[in-house]
Amino acid sequence: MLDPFNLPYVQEGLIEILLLAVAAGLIGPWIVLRGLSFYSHAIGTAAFPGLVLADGLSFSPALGAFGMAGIFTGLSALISRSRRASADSVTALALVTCLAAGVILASDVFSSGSNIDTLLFGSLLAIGPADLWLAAAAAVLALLATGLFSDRWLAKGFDPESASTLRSGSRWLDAILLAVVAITVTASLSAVGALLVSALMVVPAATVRLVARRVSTLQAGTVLLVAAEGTVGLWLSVKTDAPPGATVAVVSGSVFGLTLLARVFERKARARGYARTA
Amino acid sequence: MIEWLTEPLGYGTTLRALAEITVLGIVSGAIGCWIVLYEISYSAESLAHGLFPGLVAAALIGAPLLLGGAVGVLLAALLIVIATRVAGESADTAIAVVITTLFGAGVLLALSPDSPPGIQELLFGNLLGATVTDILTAAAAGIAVLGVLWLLHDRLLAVGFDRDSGPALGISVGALNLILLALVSLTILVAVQGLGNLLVAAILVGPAAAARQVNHRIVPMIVTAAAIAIASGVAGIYASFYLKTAAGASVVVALLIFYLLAAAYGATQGKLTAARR
Amino acid sequence: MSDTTSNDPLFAEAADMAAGYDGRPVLTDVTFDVKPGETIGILGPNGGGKTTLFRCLLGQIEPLIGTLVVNATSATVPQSDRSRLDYPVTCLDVATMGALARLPWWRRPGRADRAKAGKALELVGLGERSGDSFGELSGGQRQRALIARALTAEAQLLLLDEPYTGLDTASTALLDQLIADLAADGRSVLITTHDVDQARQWDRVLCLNGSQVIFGEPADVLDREVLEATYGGQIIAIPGEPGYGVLPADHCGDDHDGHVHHGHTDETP
Repeated sequence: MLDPFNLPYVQEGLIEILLLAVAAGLIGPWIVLRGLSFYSHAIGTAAFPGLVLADGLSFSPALGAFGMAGIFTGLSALISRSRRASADSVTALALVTCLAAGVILASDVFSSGSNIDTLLFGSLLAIGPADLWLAAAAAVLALLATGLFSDRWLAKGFDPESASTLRSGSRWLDAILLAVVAITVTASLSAVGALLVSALMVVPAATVRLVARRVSTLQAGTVLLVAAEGTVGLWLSVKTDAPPGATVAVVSGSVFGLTLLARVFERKARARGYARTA
Repeated sequence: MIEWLTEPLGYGTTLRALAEITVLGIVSGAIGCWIVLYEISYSAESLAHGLFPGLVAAALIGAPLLLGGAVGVLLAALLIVIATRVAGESADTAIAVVITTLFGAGVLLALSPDSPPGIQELLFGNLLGATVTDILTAAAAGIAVLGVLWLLHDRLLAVGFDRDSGPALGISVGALNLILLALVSLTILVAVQGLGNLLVAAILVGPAAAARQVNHRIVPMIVTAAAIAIASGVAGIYASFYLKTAAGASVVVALLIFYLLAAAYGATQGKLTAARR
Repeated sequence: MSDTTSNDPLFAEAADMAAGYDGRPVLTDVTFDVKPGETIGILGPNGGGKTTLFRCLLGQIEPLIGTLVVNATSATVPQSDRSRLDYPVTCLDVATMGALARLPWWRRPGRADRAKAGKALELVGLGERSGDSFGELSGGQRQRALIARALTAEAQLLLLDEPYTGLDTASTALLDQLIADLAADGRSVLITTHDVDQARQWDRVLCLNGSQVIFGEPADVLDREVLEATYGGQIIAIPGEPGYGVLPADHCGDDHDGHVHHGHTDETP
């Protein structure tokens, strides 16, 4: 049953997942606490054409992804300033266009049709040294950032008005969080693909949040959960020959569902307990 | 010049693709306006992703896609409600959790080696493979959607303008939103054939967003949106014919170009009005 | 001032009413009545229960305690600066929306309804602007277009939510006149405002601050004690100005911080 883990490429995939677990596990809770689910998904989707370009023109995928992420963030900031344009529709349109551009580049310009699936849904089985270095860097960055800024991010999260009067640097706090999220998302693109980053960045954190409220427990729990779910997802991916992004998504989603059920039953049992003693 | 225009029309595939995109364009243009005015573009995109496993499951067991999609969208909606109410998650997170899981499940089914090759088309569409049945189905669904939109036009307008006034005007806002989402889902199911699950949001949102920059009344806005959608479709199909690019993706790029043109026009109008005051 | 007789049935009557959300009251001890053709000012800080009262009068929520009887069609006119200015509707479109209140769900407004809306626009002085985009109208005109919507719905009880916010002196005068005209026509108008002196021009006032402070004619009831209880702030006497000014407490709403409420509207448009 554990045969897959004897294969070297699977072992590299495992290392990647564990590194990503640190990064996604530390940053995921902030994505959930600060309502950045859409943003993280958008970064992943926007990065897709960048990845295709990098793949076709043979430059660093991370660069392609960062480039697109930067452009997207910049445009989003511009759009949200404009009064007439509805940010909602323009953002949705921009993302779909990124996908379309990526599809055209992949299938017609560079003819790398078979790679579209990999780019969109990931491939733990094709992790190279560059990806591992990026994941390691993201992990270190996540450790540093959460170590330094957790308290301030938390304060801003609960009471944005008072935090902004405390110090003018609070806009920088937001920017740092968004940047760290973008870097973590980019690091996870090779593993789970452009469309399923939420499987690592959002779903595990949301699951742990069902049972834990304190930030430190949230972060520790999410790191462990991402590691566990990622490993199981990796194993499933090898066994079913399906993209790891999809297997991790299904695993993490099922865990969320089961945790939710468990919590519902626990609440009902407690309520019954109260009723009996009353 | 004329030959350039008429050559693609000699092919049955082109004619059928043009017919399909025309039907899609009219319906998407109309309902797209409401999607934009009600600011549910992201919800529409999520719906498309959410019903994907339903489509895949239907394709795998040979059931009609419309049925699979309908089941898929109901499942997605139900799960989102559960995640929001029971888990107490914000709508943002709940949608992300449910949609990612459902979409991942769909991909798992679609891309595992034992699934038939046609599944890929569900992701990116197969506009040039539109059959007469597809076109007729799209037309039937389109007529239904347009009919309901016509009937509810004034109420959609009133609630979109001022949600709180709904009850005083005898309108159930919740029911209206549900009907709107149901119409969006039906449109998505039909448009998926041509544009695929990943790109369908473009034709839902793009033409309407572009029309909004240009028009200031609702009925002209709907007409403009439909016109832009059809024009983009035609442009995309011609581009696909001559440049050999993927048809669905080409349509999306054409939509973007129209949107940018409209946005530029809208920006200049804004500057003119500011200057006049 | 209205001249209806006191024998006409009341439009609304509340007795010891309390209302709130999720079983918890946010508004208590409400006892008042609304005669036909009457103007009533509603004073009180934000969060003091004015919105809840409007919701009760519209029938959106039921009172938790006490009774509330409403014998008239009511319609609310929200603050116009919360409306969407880039919405693709004309002034006439907005007024026609009111017709929906009288139509079953399967019927769309027809030519007769649009004509009725047109007349309502003329009544509020917007007859010439009916074809203009709603967003092109000034703040005061948007307010009156929303009133036209309520009139098309044939509402007899109009609930105006801070309609004077952001209006200049000319628009304020127009709105004053319109309210008086509507009352003379037999409709009743409830107006929420932060302007104490403005409230003195109307038939009666209702002061709310979580619970009802007072209800009665302004000349009788608007004294220092009442204002202090309503706004929970310091009362100052302004030399040379009629009436008292109120220094609001912190919860009096963001746009009024530090501003003194007295006779003339000093909010920036």
